[in-house]
Amino acid sequence: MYGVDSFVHPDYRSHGVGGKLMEARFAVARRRNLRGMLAGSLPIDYYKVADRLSIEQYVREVVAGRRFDTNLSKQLRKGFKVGPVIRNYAESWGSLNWGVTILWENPDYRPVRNVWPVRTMPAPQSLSPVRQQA
Amino acid sequence: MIVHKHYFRDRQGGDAQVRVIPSAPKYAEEMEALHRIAYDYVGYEPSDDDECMTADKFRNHHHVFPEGQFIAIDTGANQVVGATVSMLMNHNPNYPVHESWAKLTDFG
Repeated sequence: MYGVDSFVHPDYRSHGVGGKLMEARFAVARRRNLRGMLAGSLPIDYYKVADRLSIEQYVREVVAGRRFDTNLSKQLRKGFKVGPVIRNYAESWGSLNWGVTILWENPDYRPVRNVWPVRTMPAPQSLSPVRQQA
Repeated sequence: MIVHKHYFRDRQGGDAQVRVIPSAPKYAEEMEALHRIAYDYVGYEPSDDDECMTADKFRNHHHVFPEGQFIAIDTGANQVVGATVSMLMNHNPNYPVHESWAKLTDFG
């Protein structure tokens, strides 16, 4: 599953509404036995330090908890892991258009094998050994 | 179907109750209005190749993958205050994603 968008009215931010919306998505992934959820996160506070930190350094510091990013840090708290950064991911003056791949793995995911049942075909009658009558 | 009930004290000091429920096409216009407020582009008229989400795009997502669409409603104000949009895609974890949001979603 890919997270296209998630947004909350400014007056309702920092009250856990975004987290509840995310939980609803996770429940869908569990119910449908999806491998997980992928999204691009905008590290919207990167512009504050972009003159002295590369985006990779910034993301490493956010992941390590040494910096707080208003967007990315909250997503990490919800259980996402970070992947590679993406240049020109989306228009965002805060992230300078950088995006960070974030991935949530469904802990309940069970790989499905043999979607189509494999059956052993019985030998055709004509090829069966014929008992000769004495 | 209520997915979550969520209570908190709002910024005016009152108790707000927010419910997370599956979205529906009837909320598409409200979702577009909220998207403009949330991303701060009220009054801007987006074109088709903008990254702005429109009511038509929300309706299309609901048509394709209804199970993946949710909204948060303040039941006191009867107002949509949050939304989330998801789509199904195949992803091989061995191949990192390098595409932009616009390319992955066809501009939403």
